[in-house]
Amino acid sequence: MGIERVFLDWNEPALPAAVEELTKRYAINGVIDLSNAIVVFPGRQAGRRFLELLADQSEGRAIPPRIITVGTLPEFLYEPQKPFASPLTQKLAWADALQGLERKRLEVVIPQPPEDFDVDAWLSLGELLSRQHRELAADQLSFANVAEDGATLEGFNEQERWEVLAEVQRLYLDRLDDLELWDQQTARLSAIDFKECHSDCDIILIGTVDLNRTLQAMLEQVAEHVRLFIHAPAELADHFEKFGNLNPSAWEDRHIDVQDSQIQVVDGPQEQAEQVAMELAACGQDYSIDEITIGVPDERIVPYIQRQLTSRDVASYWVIAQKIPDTGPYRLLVGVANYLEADRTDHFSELIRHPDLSAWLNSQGLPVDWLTCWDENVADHLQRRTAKVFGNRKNGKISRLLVEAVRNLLKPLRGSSRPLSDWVGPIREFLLTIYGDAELDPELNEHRFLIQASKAIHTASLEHGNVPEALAPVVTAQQAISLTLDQIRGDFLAASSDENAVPLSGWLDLPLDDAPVAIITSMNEGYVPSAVNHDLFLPNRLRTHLKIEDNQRRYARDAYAMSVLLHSRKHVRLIAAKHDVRKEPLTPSRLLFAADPTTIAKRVVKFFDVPEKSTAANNAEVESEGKRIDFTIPRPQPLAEPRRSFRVTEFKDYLTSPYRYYLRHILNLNGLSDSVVELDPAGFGSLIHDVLQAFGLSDQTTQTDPVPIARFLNQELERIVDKRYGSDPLFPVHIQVEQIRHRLNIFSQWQAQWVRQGWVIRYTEIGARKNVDFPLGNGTSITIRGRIDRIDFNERLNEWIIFDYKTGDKATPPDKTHRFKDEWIDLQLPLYRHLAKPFGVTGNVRLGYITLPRTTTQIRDQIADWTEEQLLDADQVARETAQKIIEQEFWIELDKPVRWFQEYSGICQDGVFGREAVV
Amino acid sequence: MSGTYQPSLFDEEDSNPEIVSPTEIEFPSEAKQGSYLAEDERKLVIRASAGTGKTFQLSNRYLTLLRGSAPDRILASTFTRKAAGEITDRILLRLAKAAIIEGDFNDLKSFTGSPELTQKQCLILLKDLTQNLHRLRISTLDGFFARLAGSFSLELRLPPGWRLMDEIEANHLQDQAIDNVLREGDVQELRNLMHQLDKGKVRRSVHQLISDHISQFHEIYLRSGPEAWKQFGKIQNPTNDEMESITMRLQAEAIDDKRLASARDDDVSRIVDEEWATLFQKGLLPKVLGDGKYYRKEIPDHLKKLYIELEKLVRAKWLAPWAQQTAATYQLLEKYDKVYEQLKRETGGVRFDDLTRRLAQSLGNRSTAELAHRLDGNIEHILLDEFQDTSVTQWNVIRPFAEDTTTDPEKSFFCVGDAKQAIYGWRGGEAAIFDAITQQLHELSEQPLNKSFRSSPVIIDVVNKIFQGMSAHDGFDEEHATIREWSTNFPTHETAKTELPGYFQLQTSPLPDGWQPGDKDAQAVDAEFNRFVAEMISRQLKDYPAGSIGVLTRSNSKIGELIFELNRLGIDASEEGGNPIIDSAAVQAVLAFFQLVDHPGDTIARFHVAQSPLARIVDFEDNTDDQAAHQFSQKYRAELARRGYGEVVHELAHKLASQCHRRESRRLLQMAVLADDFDAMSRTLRPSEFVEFVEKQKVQEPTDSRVRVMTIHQSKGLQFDTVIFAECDGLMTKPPKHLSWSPTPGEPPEVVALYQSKDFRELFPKKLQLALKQTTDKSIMESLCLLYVALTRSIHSLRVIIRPRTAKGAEKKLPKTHAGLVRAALAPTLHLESETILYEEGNPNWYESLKKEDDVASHLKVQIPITKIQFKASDQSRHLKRVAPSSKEGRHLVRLESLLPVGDSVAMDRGTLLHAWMEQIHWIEDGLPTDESLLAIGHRLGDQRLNLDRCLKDFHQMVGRPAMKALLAKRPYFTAETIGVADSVLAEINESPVEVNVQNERAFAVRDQGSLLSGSIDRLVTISRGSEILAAEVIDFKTDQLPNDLIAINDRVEFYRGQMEAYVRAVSKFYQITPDRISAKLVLLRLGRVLQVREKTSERKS
Ligand code: SF4
Repeated sequence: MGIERVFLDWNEPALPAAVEELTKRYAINGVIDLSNAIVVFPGRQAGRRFLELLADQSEGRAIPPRIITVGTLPEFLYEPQKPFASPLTQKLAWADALQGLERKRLEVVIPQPPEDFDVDAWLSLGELLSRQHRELAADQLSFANVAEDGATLEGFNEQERWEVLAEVQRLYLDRLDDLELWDQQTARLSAIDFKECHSDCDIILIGTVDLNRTLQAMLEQVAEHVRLFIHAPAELADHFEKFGNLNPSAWEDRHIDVQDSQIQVVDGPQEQAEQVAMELAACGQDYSIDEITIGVPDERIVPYIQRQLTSRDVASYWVIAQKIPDTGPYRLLVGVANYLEADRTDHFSELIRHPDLSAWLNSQGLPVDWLTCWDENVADHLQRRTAKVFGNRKNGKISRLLVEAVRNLLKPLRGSSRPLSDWVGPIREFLLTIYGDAELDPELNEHRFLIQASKAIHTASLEHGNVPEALAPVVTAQQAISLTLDQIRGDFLAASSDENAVPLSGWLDLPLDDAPVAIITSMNEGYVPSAVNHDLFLPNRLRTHLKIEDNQRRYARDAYAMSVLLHSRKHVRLIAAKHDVRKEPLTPSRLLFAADPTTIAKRVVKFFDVPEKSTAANNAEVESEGKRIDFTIPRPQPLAEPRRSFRVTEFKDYLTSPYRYYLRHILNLNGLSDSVVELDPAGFGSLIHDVLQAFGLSDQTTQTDPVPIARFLNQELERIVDKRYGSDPLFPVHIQVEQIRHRLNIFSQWQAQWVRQGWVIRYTEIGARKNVDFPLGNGTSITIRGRIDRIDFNERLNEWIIFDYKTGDKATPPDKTHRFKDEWIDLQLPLYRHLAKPFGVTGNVRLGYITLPRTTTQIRDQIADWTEEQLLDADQVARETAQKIIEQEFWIELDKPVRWFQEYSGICQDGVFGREAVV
Repeated sequence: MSGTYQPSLFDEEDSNPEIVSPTEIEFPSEAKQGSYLAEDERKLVIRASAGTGKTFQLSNRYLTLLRGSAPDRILASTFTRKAAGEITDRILLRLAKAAIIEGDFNDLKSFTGSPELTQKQCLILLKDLTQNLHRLRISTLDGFFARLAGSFSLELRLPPGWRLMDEIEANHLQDQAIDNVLREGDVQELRNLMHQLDKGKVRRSVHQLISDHISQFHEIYLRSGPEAWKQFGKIQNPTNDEMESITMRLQAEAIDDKRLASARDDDVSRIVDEEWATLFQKGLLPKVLGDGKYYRKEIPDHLKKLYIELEKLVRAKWLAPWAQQTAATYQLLEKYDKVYEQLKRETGGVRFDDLTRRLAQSLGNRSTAELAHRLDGNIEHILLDEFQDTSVTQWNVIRPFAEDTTTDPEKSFFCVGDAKQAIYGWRGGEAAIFDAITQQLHELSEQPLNKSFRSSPVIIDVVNKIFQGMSAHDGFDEEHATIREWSTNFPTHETAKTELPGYFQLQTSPLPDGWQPGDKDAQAVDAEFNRFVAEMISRQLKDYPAGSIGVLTRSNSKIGELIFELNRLGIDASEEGGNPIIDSAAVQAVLAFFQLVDHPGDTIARFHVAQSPLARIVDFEDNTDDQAAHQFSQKYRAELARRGYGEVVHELAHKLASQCHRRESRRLLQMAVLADDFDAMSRTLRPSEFVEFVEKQKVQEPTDSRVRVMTIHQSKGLQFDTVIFAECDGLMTKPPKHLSWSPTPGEPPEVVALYQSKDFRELFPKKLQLALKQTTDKSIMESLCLLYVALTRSIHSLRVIIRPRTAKGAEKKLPKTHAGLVRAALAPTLHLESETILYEEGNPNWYESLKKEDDVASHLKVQIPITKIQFKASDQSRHLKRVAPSSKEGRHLVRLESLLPVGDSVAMDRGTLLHAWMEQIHWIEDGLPTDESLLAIGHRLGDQRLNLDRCLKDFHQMVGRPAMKALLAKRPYFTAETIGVADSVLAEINESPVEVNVQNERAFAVRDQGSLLSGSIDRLVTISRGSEILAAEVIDFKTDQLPNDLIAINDRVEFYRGQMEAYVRAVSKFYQITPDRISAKLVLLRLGRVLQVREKTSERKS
């Protein structure tokens, strides 16, 4: 007896009809006993819905069959004689086979083979071949067959290539043979060859219209058990082949009965989503939410649809809840692998920000602000690697504890290369250390994802244990982690179904879906139907020649699916787009043109002869028009106590921008970043300052020979750099230190000459903690303070000079920095006079900079020649400014935007169109 | 076709008697042959000026070819993806219209070759085309190359699993590469490099220096070989001794003439001060090299000799750092490129440029026929659009195809372009290839196309005047030759649209109130300028509401400014220049949020967030709370990891929208889209990377407003009723970053060097002088092209607005700007007053004659109300939540440890094995299965490491326990003695003999409390009489490891009660018996204990 073919009328959905049919056949005494049946569907979703319908239509009086998908059917039909090689083993065996090939031969296929040590590259090649092998074997073809059959195809110039591939395939199979393993495809073929297929069950295939040749051959051997349910009218029997496969040429010219009114051509993904919303609004009156399915042949538009619907309070359901690479454990391991590679500081900073790891760190007895301590320490010491942590204060200590904690955590993952399977345990242990303490509730999505992701990783890693020793590479932990993660890169975690949501469904699941309403998006060429023309291995002409899946078959499949949809649903809407998510232009699906020529012409005109504008143009944004703006610049708040003590440098800030002064000096707001790549101006300057301070305090100050001065400065520089940055700071630091050395060398020449002129350094870095009284002239006074870099005295001239070191790239003289258009804009140097007074610096006192800029000819003193009146004026400005600060005049709008204080530009709305105010 | 019937679009279906029946349609594409192209048009180059209908020509050609060729044998390429899409649309549309509309048919037939097309053939062609949409090869060159590369990825050594990166992702990767160079490089090596890069004077920021170099030179690096960077010859940097010696000899030279001596002394101090370049400009050196005279006196020979010696040394001194810098740049790029390539390999990311380059390298030696197999067919016809923008590498890839199609008489070649519109040089476009193509390929015929189908006569006239008259500009020096050449070669344009009204105006903008000549506040002038333009647009909109307006700028920042002014006037304009979105306060606040999440210690970000409307949304209102900030960071890092940046930003944007005006919320929306992009390319755990990313991205979002503001580059291919050229005062060209020279267009440069000011051109080695010339010529050309594109976008009206004079006096020369050129041609005055019309032509009220024709109302945007989506009430019949009974277990908290099996392999757990074995037992009376069969099951389950023998021993021990024996025995059921059912049921059973049945692994599926309950029962025993089921027992095996104590066991029973109850309901439903007829037993296999779960049946019943 042959296979039985049952036609289910396509004017109704397939599944209810199938259940009815099965009820007829299997009901005994009101009980539908399918316990001895296997029901096979093309996809999972149909199986689920089938079970639902079976339970409902039988009112619970059915013994369900085993429900499987086509892909797993073969293994129900034979008894494999050897264990299967896992996918990883297969990949490794393919890679091994490739590497076992003579170089000359190999180059026929891969002109430039990867280096021997590049495990990843070989594995990917292995995977590539593995895929071709799977596809061809599914249609009972070997690589050798392609070489042979290709010979009769005109223009086929790849015989040699396929012969070499055939050789690789033989090597591959031999390899597995040696290992007593089996390749699943080969097992199936061998079962066919030895006529080993058998079954005790009824095998019922529903809606499978595209069985591969291997499966067909297997079914042939159990034909008497096989029943095919074909969703089509019996009149179309000749449109289907023996095993229910579509007869491609029968579908090629068939008209598809779609009305113009069912089709909508819109612009891009956003417009598709809007169109879906409109369609839903239009059919919502007549249908309930569970009677509607949205088809998404291009899953990249899923987020657009979901967001669009969410914004209209409609829930939607899409099977993918999260992709595995997005899950916590996966990302954690990526971070770990990165860090293990070279212990880089930036990798460490990233790793400890992983929320799961930082949650773990929170429980390690570190203070709550450990992250900030770390960031600050990184910015201070600019280390390439975490091997040594500098810093003596709190930040340094906490950072050391932090690094220590992570180091201990990762200890089991360190060490030299080992056989792959030896890493399974340590990886598991690591996951358990991070996640093991939590009590997880599988009902909670968040926990469920964690559980599933961890399991997926663990399972993948366990597979390493199954790799035969002969193939198992010897790797480091971080390679082992990469191999593990690679295996599951494409996996995802399924969302739990939700009956109150409109389901989004892939194109392949649609034909067997039974919702009366189908709204289908992306009705575009390339999606429905898809097509392969050019190809690395199997271009379409070759496919056709080999009688494997080709464009004609793809078209037939989708033409059939579309016909089914149009016949069996009450309400079908088709949306085509003009471009995809990446702005690639799209054309409407050929299926929309499966009509008589005049209809085609009219339809083309309808699709393309419209002005460019889409009807559903951005509505969302119009909503907010005319609303008030709440993004204001925050106003200063009254202070409990006015400020009375001032650093001499801070007046400049007030004079530049009172508001920013408030942010910096009153609120003490500071930015923080660890994305430092080199010494910033402050770090650069402070390094020079520190060296020069040491110089000022040393016994070298009276030297008149530049050489010892330079030697001293150099040593000092070395000492400080070593203490602060060690031997392995970020690379630019080395350059910057060189540059500082260079500047200091020139400085020593100036210094020597300066001393020869009779100048002596009297004070170095004084006044830091000392508050000096500064009367405001209205009976009250303030105190001022500041640290003076250096004060020199010349006995011969009886003259003092108060100096400030300036280390910027440019050598701006004091007058330029302090005054603009006859106005004081900085008061630092003038106020130094008052700070210096208590040290006896009185009488003939001059003020100036020692500049150490990029251009070395300008490394020298630059003395200001302000008159006494001007200086008195500066004092007056200081008094007025202090008064304003005391009176809290912080909100003062400026005429011109300021160019400094970049760190506050966000708050102050610099560069914002229509900024609220310039402050 | 009958001539009487005129089909129209509005015909009813079947009303066309002549329509072709489907059976008549064969597939000519498979066997089509013959060419419908005239012989002399088969190999054709068209030089088409702006607006002359290139696309029209191209689609004609395509349709003609289609008559005799399958679509996959025709390759049509254009410059942008959008344009490619439009060409496809247009071809389909023209064919379709011609097929059913007589008028369109008549239009088409004369352009589609001979013999003339019939309307029936149109239908056939259309059918054929629509059925072969998947075989179309109409795309960008990049698109075609991507397909080629996909088919030859092994040959090209592309990273396995490669994918194309977009600009955003590539930039991200480049940053990473720079970072890696700096973090992982060899310190000593880099140190030397750095020294040379900056000519010894390293500025503080090393990072800046390096990234600048890389961004400026990487492109040319890729195009050139290492030799090109070494064109300085052998330069020996003179030693100090050599310099000292010459200085001393110069000094020692006795000179009588005082002036000469002092000049010599000046030169000596120049040497000491190392002012090399000045030596060549001042003092005696130029004299010696020149006529040898100083103040008309011959310079003494021995002095001359010294100077000639000096010249060599100084030249070397001057050149050495340049040469070193150039060499160091090359080295740096080499290093960087290696790292970048490595990163690309690791991530699988590939750029279009990479593909093109690899294709050019790897496939160049293959014939096109060799490629045909994998490409699934030969390419026989080529149509290339916008050819002037083709890059050298692109041309190298396409050239074999071009050669193939130009040498075979059966094949055809067509390319169309306009060297006057070559504005993509910075992207590698090489207009010179277009000029050279006729020499490179065989026997091409050429056709000029200078008749516009776009612009009014006024516009065309002005365009002619400007480009033919611009060489009157006197301000250029060497560049003038290029300008004159352009001007002389400029073909006189004509227009087909002789009826169109038009207007042209060249005008200066006003100055701000109270402006004094000489004031230097350029910002104020700009602001006034922008206001002026905005108001002009506003007036134009009022005057002619139906017309489109294109506002053209050169820089993106100008676009932002103009948009802002327009928005202030309430005008909605499409912003088509990319600007960073950080010009929005809302975006800034959200960025502060991300900064805070990354750095809870950043008190600026804390303050910013806490004081913004965001504070309430993200629940962070106290910026002084240190602990809260750190918790906040932890919380949102988790949130971001879980949901992604896209989702979080969309949500924030949504919530903030009510507090933003329109532009702000659009910016937020753009930020959300950027966040989606970011998710797609990066899985970083660093929110600050997102901040950096957003700050760097330039976002443009064209809307369908009637006013569109864009750069000239973006306006290419577009047309507007009115064009306002609003930025033509910038310099024609900026100094380039590097100089390069190739002997012939299309060849890689043979000379590359960093840029040096042309002031010292004489010092350049010969080849570098050539490079300087070629480089400057190119950029002048491109700038002229830019001007040409800007001036040819308009249909009716064109307004060029320039800034007035702001300096005190009049100008001395016309400026070297676009404005300067336009003025030179139209209004060569040097007195540039504010708000003055310098030149006009045509009718300022040009729109009046058009107004009536347009229905103004039709241009109002149709507002579609946001519909509320409501659904009919549901009876919940589909998509039931699917529930396995095990989920009915008690609240089930687990630890991960129990879920990750130990061991090194996928060991089947004992539980599965025991279940499988139990399943084999029918009744104990029938005997146990043989060990052999049990072991076979064990093997089949795929286990390798589990000790099967031990398991088997355990199994025997288990089933040997009395309780188990009793459970598995059939006999007790006949009297129902051990099952827990109601007494009445017991009595019923004992009335007369019953049958007893057992089913193992009994599957079920029922609708239960709004969900689908499905699964299988380990062991189900039924007691029946005839067809009537009297009672049933559900038995569930558990393999839990637990202590043998009562409390623990009771706990476990409670734990599983829910599940057992669910089984009972399923059985009840299936057999249609009441639950009190159903007993349930839990079997703890490891303890050998059998527990009644529903003992209290009798009480419950009462
Ligand atoms: S898509 Fe628009 S409406 Fe939806 S969440 Fe994002 S911003 Fe809000």
